[in-house]
Amino acid sequence: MIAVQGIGWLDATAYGRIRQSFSTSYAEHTELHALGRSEGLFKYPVKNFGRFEPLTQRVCCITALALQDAGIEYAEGRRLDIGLLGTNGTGCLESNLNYFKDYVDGGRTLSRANLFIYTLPSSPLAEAAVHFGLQGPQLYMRAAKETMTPLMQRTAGMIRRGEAEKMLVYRLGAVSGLCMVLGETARPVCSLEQAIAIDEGAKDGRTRIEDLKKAAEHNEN
Amino acid sequence: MINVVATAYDLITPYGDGLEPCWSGLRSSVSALTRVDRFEASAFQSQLAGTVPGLSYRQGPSLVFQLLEKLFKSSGVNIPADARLLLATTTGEVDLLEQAVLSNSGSAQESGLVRLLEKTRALCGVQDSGTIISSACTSSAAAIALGASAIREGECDCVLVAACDAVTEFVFAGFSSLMALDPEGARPFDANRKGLSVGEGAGYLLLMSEERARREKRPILGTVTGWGLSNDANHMTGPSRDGTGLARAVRTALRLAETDEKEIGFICAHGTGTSYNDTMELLAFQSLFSSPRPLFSVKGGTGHTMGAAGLIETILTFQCLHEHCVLPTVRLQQPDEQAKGWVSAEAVPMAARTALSTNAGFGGVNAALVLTAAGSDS
Repeated sequence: MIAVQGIGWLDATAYGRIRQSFSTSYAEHTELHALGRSEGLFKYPVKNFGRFEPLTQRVCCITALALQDAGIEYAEGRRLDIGLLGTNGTGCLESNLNYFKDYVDGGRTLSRANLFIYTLPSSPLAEAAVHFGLQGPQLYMRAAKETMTPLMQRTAGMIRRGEAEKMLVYRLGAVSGLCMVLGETARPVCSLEQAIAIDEGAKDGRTRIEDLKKAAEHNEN
Repeated sequence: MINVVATAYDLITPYGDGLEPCWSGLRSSVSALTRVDRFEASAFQSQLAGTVPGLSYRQGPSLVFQLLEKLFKSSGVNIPADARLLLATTTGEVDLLEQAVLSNSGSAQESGLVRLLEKTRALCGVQDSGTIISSACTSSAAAIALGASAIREGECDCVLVAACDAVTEFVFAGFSSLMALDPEGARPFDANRKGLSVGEGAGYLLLMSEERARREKRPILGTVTGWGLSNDANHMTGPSRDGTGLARAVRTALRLAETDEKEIGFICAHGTGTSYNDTMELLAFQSLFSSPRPLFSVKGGTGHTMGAAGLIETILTFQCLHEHCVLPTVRLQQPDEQAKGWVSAEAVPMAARTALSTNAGFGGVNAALVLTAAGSDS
């Protein structure tokens, strides 16, 4: 059965893992920009983490949390048969503005390559693929309505057809992020249908996390 | 298994409107690269690009909207209202953001991809609200893969894949900062290649289940038989040095097509003209194919049309299958040692049944499509 195996999340105040019922607030631990250096979140340092724009930092954090939650081991130099599909509200509009304003302020003769590379909506996912060694399909999708449903449907098909063994599905907000690990599992956090229903029905990010926690507890019992 | 067929397609490239000028330009080894005149490019690494003539820049509608409007208004094809819409792009209407920043007026939000999706839906007249697909320079190949998989799985029986990207100061300056542009124009697979040339274009591909296409008496122009997407998991801007990521995508595509490398007659390669990309692709093909196959890149002719590249190249691959002709690699002068026996500066006659089209992009993404000629058993 293809289902949700693990979930990592973060918002403006806290981050956590659903299956493992773990969450911690930044006040107790550390702030987002310092998570790259914090012990326990990443198995090895994320190269240039401090220079990533915040969206990419969040993607890397929730990827680590989700993989931990699903019990998936990763190691430097090792490749995993896992793909990534993500969505968010505004693509990379903020990065586009940062890059282009910097270029204009600099006299319109030279732009910064390190800002240019984040002017693709798929770039944050790509940074995660590079760090965690994820070799499966990787793309950004955005339906007219901001929803994970088409992503969940596509990823399930990709797993069924053997395009990747597992898939990570992301919903990214202005200060929040959610990453679900999908794969064949006998012990799911929740079914694909449950995850879609919760995603569609939640009125905000916090409710979505709480509903996913409840579903995980229910399925565990 | 449900066969996925192409029933209509069209494109706009720097050669002009429609397939004919693009096909005959490429077939005759004529490049459409010209000096950029829509913004000041003298400070950049190159001043050459593939731009579509007659577009207005930063005055009114965006470049890609102008392309899509022309494309759908002139197509004359009956696009079913129940078609699913997939729109592939990398930067979409980013010239609207440029306008907002440079004039300090208007809103950068106007450049958002969802707004382009809404406009495209209105242009093509489908009911589906659509989905944006963005995966760097594999965007439209990935969209074709997703559309084909939805039809093969029986989720729907008709998908419209549209793709667009434009040459803007935003993009041009970025590639220049990466030192990725060839000052003399892209020379894919050439021993003296120094980089890519940015290009622009738009196109669409109407995919259907074979059953529906036959029922509606639509022309069958070719079949999408297999697809594969992968990531190198290696580097943000450079491809894997050994080609294993692309090879993985090709293997998946061959497996889903239920075929093997021996059946592939020729390859429409990504062939950007950068040293690393072209080497990576050749390594991947050499690891996969038991003998060299005719291989070409169109990017010395069209420029690198970014998110639209995969769709434009799919259309051209179908045309090669139809015309029994493998296109030359435009601007090729002295083939790279590694590419000898694979690439040619001349068109090669070949009645192939099946071909491979590949793309790669920023973030290490790769895409491969196995495409079959119309009328073949698939």
